[in-house]
Amino acid sequence: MASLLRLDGVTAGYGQTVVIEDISLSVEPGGVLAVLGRNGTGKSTLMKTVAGHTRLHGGGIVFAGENIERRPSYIRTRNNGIGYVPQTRDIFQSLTVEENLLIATQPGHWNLDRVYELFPNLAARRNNGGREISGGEQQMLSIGRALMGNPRLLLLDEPMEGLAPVVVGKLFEVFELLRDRGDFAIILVEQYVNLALDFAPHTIVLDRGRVVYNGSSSDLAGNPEKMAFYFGVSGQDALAG
Amino acid sequence: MTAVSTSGPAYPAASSQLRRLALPLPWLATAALPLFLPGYEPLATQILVMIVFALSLDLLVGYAGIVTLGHAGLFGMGAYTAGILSVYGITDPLLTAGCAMLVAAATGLVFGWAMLRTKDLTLLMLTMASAFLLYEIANKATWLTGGEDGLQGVNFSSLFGTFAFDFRGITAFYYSLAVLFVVFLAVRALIASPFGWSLRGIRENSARMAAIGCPILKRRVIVYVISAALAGLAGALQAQATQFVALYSLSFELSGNILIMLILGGSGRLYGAFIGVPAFMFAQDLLAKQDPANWFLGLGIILIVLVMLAPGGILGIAERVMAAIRRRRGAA
Repeated sequence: MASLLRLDGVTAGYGQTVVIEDISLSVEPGGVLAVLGRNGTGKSTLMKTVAGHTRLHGGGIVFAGENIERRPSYIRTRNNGIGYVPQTRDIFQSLTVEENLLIATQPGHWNLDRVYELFPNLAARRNNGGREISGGEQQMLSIGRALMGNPRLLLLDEPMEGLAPVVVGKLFEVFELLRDRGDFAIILVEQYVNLALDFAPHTIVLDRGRVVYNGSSSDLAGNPEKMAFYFGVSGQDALAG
Repeated sequence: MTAVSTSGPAYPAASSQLRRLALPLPWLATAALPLFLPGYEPLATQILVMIVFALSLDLLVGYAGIVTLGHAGLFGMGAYTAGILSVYGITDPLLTAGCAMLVAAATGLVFGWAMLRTKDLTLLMLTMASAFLLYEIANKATWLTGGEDGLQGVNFSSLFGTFAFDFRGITAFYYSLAVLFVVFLAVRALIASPFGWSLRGIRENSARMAAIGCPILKRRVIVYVISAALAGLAGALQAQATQFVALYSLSFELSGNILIMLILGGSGRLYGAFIGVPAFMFAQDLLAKQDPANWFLGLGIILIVLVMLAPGGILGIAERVMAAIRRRRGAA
């Protein structure tokens, strides 16, 4: 199958600073990829580069058969392109929950009713202001807003960060549901290593801005030495916290 | 909370029911003004025109987050367009007002397209420069504008061919009130539309808006053009109500004053213009009576105190008082 997203030797960063170097990867339509690595290895920069928020120093990005590396981020998002859920969530605080969702509308399966069905919490708070909801609800809203754009590729940047374990569990159920629907590809950056390996069949591991592992998630999970090498003393404990 | 909160009220509006009930009252009261305060129509008209102008500015400053010190440039373009047309024999008020809007919008398109790629201080300086440019052109082109003497021979025909612009200013007053009402409804509808939400989104976090597929520059130019058209309309109203156009209508002083009026009332609040303009005008009147030479000093002090203690302007204070009352009620 032709890949939906392909990065060929991408080097990118902010201004003159290079954060990620020579990254190559590909994701198939409906495919799921986990991006793992310690803090500061360039995972978020990789996501931002795909979404168009960094400076590209070299390499190419092909999305749905078109070179998009020179396109501004709003063009990448349009026409059911790339949906990006940033680490910072970035809820518009002067808009209500519902306005935050509607503002991102693009035609497709996902609409207001379906997002509310997925996240009943949001339906209950539809008229609340963006600053009047909990952290978990903000994350749901940020995901819901990306879904409203009916993307073909969804970028999730540490969606579980700072959330209570019970909310993490709930959100993961939603992610599994979205994954199993398979109507878009997902790239997940996550610190919960074991959850992520379990979630995505394919994993890349970044270290100091470079890809150090690119392969099957189960192979990685079944290799304690590699796990310890990439993620510290014992994979999940060091990073799940 | 991750993001920094920006100006603008918590949404939904704290007192939406109250506002809905109260909405028609000020309009009716204003319409009845000539009955109670005869002789004040020209002043009232001035205030109405400035409210239209301030509303147009609020779209930029309060909603789109575009702070400009050159909004008078667009107001003046409208005023001169209407005035010059009337000098050359096209005297219908509505037709000339329409032309004024078009010319101001075209000016806004050219300047906006060029300026809105920049932001913050650079943009502020460019807006200022754009108005200076227009001011100097009007100043030098005396054959067309009358230069410093102002545009002479401005004369508009009757509204709908029936209501002449009378000596007392009754026609101008009701005409301005009607225009303000229409502009108010239009601006209110605009800011409640998805386009209006996107403006607030751009103000808060333009990178995020881009990431959900919003063409930032295009939206900013569109709102600039809309705002320019409304500013031009206010300028035309001014020309028609006073039957005169002065260079002041393009001046930096007016650009500054209208921004002060808006901030005084509270930007990003729709009603800020309605509060700020009369407050400014009354303060100006009072202070100028005390000390005709240095009344700007008094105004400056008021402004400093307000900006330091109440960033949301007069409406911001009102909102905080209402919120405190509600909290107390909730606690009791």
